[in-house]
Amino acid sequence: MKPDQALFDFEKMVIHSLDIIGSIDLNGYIRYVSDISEDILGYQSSEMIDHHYSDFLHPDDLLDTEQTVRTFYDTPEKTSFENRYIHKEGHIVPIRWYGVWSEDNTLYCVGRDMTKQRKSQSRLEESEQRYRVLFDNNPDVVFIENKEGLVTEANQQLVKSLRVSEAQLINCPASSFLPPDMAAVNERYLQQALMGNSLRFEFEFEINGETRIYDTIKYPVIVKDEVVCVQTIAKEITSLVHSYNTIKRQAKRLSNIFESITNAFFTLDKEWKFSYINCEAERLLAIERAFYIGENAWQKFPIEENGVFYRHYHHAVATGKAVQFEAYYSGTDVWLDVRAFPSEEGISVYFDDITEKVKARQELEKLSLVASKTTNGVIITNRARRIEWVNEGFTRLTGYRLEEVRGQIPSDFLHGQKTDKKAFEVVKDKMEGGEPVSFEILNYRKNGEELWLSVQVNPTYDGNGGILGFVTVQTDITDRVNSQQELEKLSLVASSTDNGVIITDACGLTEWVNEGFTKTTGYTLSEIAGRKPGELLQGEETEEATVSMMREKLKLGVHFNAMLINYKKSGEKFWVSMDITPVYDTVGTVRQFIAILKDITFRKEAETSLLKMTQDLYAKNSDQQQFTYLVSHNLRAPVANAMGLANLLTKLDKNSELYDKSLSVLNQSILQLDTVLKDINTILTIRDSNGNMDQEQVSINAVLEQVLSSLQEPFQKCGGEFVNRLEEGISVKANKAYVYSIFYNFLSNAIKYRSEERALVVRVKSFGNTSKGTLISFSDNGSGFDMKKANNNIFKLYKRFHVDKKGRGIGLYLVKSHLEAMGGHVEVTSKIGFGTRFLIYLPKI
Amino acid sequence: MKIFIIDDDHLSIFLSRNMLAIEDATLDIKTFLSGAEALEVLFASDEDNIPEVMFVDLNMPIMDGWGLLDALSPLEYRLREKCSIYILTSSLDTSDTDRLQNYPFVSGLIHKPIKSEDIELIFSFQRSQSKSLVL
Repeated sequence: MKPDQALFDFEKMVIHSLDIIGSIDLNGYIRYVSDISEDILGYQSSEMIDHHYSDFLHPDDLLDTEQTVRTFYDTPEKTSFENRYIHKEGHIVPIRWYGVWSEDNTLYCVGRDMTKQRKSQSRLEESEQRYRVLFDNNPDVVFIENKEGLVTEANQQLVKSLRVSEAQLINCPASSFLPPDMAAVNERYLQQALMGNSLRFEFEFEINGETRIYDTIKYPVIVKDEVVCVQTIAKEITSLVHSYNTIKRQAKRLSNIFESITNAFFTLDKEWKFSYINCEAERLLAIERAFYIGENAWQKFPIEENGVFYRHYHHAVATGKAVQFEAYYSGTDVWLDVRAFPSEEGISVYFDDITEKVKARQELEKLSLVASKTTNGVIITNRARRIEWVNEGFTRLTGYRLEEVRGQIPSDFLHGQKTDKKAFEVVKDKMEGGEPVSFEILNYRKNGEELWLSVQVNPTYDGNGGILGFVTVQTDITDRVNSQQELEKLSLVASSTDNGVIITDACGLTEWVNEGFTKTTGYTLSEIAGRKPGELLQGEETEEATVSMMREKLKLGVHFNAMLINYKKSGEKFWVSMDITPVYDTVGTVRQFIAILKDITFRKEAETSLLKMTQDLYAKNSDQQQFTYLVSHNLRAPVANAMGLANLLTKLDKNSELYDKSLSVLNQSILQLDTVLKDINTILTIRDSNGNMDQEQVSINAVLEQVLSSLQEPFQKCGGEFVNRLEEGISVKANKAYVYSIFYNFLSNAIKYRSEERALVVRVKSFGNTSKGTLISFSDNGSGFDMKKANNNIFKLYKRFHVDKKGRGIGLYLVKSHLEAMGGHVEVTSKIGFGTRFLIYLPKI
Repeated sequence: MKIFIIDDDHLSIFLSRNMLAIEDATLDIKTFLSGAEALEVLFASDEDNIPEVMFVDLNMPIMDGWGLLDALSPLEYRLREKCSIYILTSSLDTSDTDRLQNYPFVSGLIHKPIKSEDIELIFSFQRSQSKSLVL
């Protein structure tokens, strides 16, 4: 090659070279620079030549560049370095230089604009760095395995996780740090990744007794269709898995709870889809939950859309407040008690079957409606008889409102003074024994008024037959009782208005008398109320025996009748027949007595007169008998004697003394016979005159004078004294002969039976001349007789009481006969050794 | 033989005593005007002085025949062994006969006046110690 050609070529190359070609002297001044400088640095070569290089250099690179240049000045070798120049427009231009110092102390150098390289290099470096950072600081485990299965790179997380040094990992197979089973898993996935597949799997292994779970991805790094290595990224999900498991466990537990709670339960999410249904809910709604979970509730239960449940649930969700309600679910014909709790996730619904309860309540409501509307009083108590509820009827009846009496025992405030508490105790016992009872009782209203109630008490039972409480129904029977009581009284009165009626309490104190009583006795109710009837009515002649009999019967509490003498208010005596009937209460205690009084004076009088007639008849009959006796005995006695003596005479010597004596006795007997016949005549005369003898006003004194004068001789003979205590001018209407006979017999008897021991004294005394008759006593101080022995024969015909005195036994018979013929009677008292006293009574006719 | 006559009628006693005496003059006859007097003597006597025969009138004052029989009733057995009691009465009243049924120890009833046949019969019974009702 020719040197010219070579120079030419060189020049051309210099001109067209993309690199800057230049030379710098030892002092650093630019000697030459190719024209490309304008392209690279913005300066024409002429602008640069003879200027110091540092004029164009980045100030920061001055020192480095100077040092580098000086350094390689001493070495013959080419040196390469890089520095930065400032473009004419101000931006930095990196240039890589190759230079060499020549012997002429000139630095010849070629510089290449490194802007593009520098840019891509820094990009690369950045990306490398970024990757590195990502790789090293990744919270996940990252490592790279080469085709040989050796770990080429491992990040810090792996080192940290395995607690080994990086050196122990690099160029080792994964099996060296993984447990064998996991190493096998890794190997298997590694091989697949090497075949170009990305893989994801869970990796689980134990480190220091701690199980860790990793979500692992293995993918191949492919360069030019060839897998050069495999990168593995493993994310630890241990806690995630744990929490998931915990959640799962808790969910399971919750589910168990949901299943085990007896309430039916389901949850709906925000879209009203079932998220949970427990088995009780399944049962109550008759559904199979598998077909409902995830389904919209309103689509599954279309009839309920816009229904009660729908409204309540929507209300709960809208307000965020829990709701509780009772509703009927037609699907399974049940009543449900529902509680719904809205939450962020939706709504939880608990519900119970309360069909029974609702039915019972409805039943109760119906009853309660009846109970509250009825006019009867209704009380519901617990088993201790404490009030739980009363109806309006109760309030109307008693005046007590529910609020006042709740918790109280009805009897405590309803009973009062006149309430029959004993009777109540009896029914209470029955009641508490569980027996339904009904009774009538006197209660008191709040205002104190008496209130008669018919009460019916029924026990209510729980399922086991225990008493739950009592239901009491009260019916007002005040009117009925009053009218009944009145009626009872009235009926008695009505039965005989003329009869007196007394109603007394159990003690016999008068509570009520009727008008008939007042009419009969003259006593009004106000006079006798509170007193015993006997106090007012009984009097002197009331028989004590009858009264004590009545007391006994009252005590016994039996019905009885008594007839006794009572006295009217006027003092008038009357005979009364009393029918006394005890009135019992329900438990058999005497509550009252009812006495019905009948004035039986008339009857009693009739009875008395009947008795008198009977007595008369009896007297006549007994007279008849006595007359027969007289004939058979006293008349026959002298006849018998006469007959006997006549017979005896035939057997005697006519000249004997006994013959004469017997004849004399026979004579006496015949005289005796004559006397008896005369007596018979007298008696028959009195008898026949009975009731129609001549009666006149007879002066007792005048008659006594006649008697005394006719008996003057024997009376004076025995030294008798006559004491006259008769009223002045006393007279009776009577038969004078009879009165004479009576006193004659008395006086002759007094003389005949006088005492030998003392002088005879005869006293005659009158005891007033009452409207009814005259009473006169005739007494002597004679020998007297034994009243016991005389029995009641003293006035009988031919009865004699003295053996030593002569007498026929006819005198007192005549006295009695005479008196009885005149309607009077005679009584006698006598004592041996003291005397005899006759008391005669002559009626006023 | 001891005989008691109890009668308030003197005439009747005179008659009875003499009728008995005609039949048997040895008789020991005691007379009483009332039952009470006779009882007094009867209770005072020892066994031996109890009469074999007693005639009792019914109609007497103080204590009549019935009263006497009533008083003797408690002694019935001893009397029946020892003494025959005859009722001697003027009464013809059949009620007396009926009433005597209550006194079985009475041997018989005799209507006055007492006759010889009555006395004979009584004595013959008395002698044979046997007793039967005499009418």
